[in-house]
Amino acid sequence: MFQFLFESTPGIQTFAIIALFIFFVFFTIALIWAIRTDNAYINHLKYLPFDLDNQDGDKNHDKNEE
Amino acid sequence: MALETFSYDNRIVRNFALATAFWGVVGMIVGLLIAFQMYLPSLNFGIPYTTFSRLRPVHTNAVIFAFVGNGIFMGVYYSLQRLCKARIFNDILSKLHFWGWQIIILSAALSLPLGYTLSKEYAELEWPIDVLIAVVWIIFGTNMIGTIIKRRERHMYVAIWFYIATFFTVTILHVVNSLDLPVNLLKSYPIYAGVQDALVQWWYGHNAVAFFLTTPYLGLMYYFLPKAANRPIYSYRLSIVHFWALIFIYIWAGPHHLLYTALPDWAQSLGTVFSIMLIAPSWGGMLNGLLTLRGAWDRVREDPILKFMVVAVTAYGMSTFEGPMLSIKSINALSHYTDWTIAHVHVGALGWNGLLTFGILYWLIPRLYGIKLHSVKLANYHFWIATLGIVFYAIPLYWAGITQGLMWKEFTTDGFLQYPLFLETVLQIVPMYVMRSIGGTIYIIGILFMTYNLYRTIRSGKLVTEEQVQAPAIEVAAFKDEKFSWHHRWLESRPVQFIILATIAVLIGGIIELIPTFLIKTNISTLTAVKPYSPLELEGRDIYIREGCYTCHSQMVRPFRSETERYGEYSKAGEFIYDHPFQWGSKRTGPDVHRVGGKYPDAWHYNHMVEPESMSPGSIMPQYPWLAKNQLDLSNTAVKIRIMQQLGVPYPKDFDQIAVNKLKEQAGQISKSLTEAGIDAQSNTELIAMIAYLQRLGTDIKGISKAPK
Repeated sequence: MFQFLFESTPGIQTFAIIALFIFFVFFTIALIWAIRTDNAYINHLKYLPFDLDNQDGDKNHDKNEE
Repeated sequence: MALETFSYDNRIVRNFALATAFWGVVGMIVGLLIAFQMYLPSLNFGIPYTTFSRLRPVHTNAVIFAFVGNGIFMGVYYSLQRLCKARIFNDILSKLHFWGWQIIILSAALSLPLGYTLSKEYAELEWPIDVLIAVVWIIFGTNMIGTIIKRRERHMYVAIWFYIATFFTVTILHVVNSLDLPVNLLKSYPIYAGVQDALVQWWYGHNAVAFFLTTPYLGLMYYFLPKAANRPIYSYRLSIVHFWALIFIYIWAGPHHLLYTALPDWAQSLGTVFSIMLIAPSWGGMLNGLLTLRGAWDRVREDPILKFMVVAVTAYGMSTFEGPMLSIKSINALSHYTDWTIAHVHVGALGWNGLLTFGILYWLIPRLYGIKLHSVKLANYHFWIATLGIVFYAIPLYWAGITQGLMWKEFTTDGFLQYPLFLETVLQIVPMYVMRSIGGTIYIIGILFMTYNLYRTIRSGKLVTEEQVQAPAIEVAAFKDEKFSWHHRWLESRPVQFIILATIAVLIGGIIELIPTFLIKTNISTLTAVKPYSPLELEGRDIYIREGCYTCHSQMVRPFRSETERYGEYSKAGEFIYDHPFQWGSKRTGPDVHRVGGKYPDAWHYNHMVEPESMSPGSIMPQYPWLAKNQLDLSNTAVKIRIMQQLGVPYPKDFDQIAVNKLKEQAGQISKSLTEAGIDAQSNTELIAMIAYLQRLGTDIKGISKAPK
């Protein structure tokens, strides 16, 4: 079905390839960025909603769980 | 480190929370009224202002911008202060933002029923309101960015990324899609025409869903779901990929609203490809939300807040899977213009936006008032009622959409349309419309439960307006010694760099799609037979727009045999070059009207507009008798012609000076043909102009200029 759709669209190969290429590069950079990020840093960010313990009664969340 | 004492502004959060609940009730009650009107058109009580076609935009705007809009601001003002460990930037801006937004909503609630509309879906509001929206939105942005800049927490949590992307993208979308030339204070024409207008509109429309109903709510999910579950988000790494992939891809997918239309094929295919890719980041986000509850599912059994959030995230997953599926051309060929789309958007609106908002309200209000929720049991009832309401709403509409789509395409063995009468396919699904309105009623009963529950909670508590907290100030000197790598410091700690990169990511898709359509002439073939509308037709077109005919009638015959057999020659891009704005529509509750010109005599249109059932027994179209009584306003005709000339419509020089005379001449001819048919019609009524416009539709390439007598 996709083959039919693409074949019936003149020039679609180029557009699809450019679009996929741009996305692939973008996605790869984002992925590498995320994977290479330091664990301590990630954990720091992850707990940001809970950091200020003196307001919401969230003191009891268990950081050790992670 | 020295601690600074400051306070959070809870009053502004409370105000937006109350506005969310209030407009939610109003918007959905209007929705319920028009759901009943779908099979009981007389429920407009014979009043123009309460007719389906004028109320439908009131419903959509109220739910999107009033209910969800206030919900966004409520969540952002609460979470941003806490994530930034800073009071909101400026209290006066907060107040201006709140009251400005409510004034916009009220202006919309008044102007849309009165017929002041641009007819571009979810961007119907006329230019003065558009300007006000831009001003208030910038106030919101200033307050948000200001808070981020004066924050005490060095790092920006992912929810803030979503808020930033929302602010900048919505700004761009709103400005680009609202470029109009005013005729007067209450009327304007978009600078774009036809195909370009359609592409810009659906680039906007799709991304209004993306960046108003989705990204800010994902930000809220990333903050409130961990708070409600009392555990951090499942994978922060996944949220990074989720954010960048989502904002980058979403902007490309707009053309999937225009598949098989006169939009250039390459743009359609690009829309399809990127829509399918969207499943990946969307489901990444959904799974991240659901997996946050791993190990806490026992709490979901008892806590209504978590129940609301779980079903909301699940609905997000369902609609973001369904969306890409509907973008596949062969599926879209069946689903488009049917109730399938309506079911799809309501799974998103009622499920994702609605239930997440309710969950947040139940979590937030007791905290703002320093008290427990009045009744957890009632909230549990609300959850079940709301979930059942969605089921009873969506299933009948899926059924209706697929049934009608198949009926439109059904041929007999002899090669004729099985259901040549459009009305037959409508009457077939009326029982489904009845079921849908029952589903909607159930959902609204749930909201009334919530309103009562929150009211009782508020009454027994006291608003903590100024929440005192302490946090250390950011020490700039310590920043350089930061143990985290430079690229994270460079981006995730610096709002300005972050904003620039996010905006570039969003703009790439928009630019690749929009610029070629504006610049490459070959994208729109010019047809020499296509001429500008006559002054009377132009006035008739403005009445067509005012009455909101596009809410039920498309003007786009797709290149399928089932459509060319039913309506006539398929629509060409070049036929719309003078259409400011385009009127392609997105739903066929009635038949397509692009080739209606010359199909029926003037008298048929006259009778049909005054009393549709007299020409189509069983029709569910509302009556428009006021058109036969209202005198046509000619005070702006000359200005309209001049504005059209400025927009590039080739009227002869000084045509504006003879426009009114030309108009009267044509009106006289139509009036005469009506008199010959035994109808006593005045030539100066709005209905005459409407007939002129309808008789003109799609006739340019047919070479037909006059209606059959």
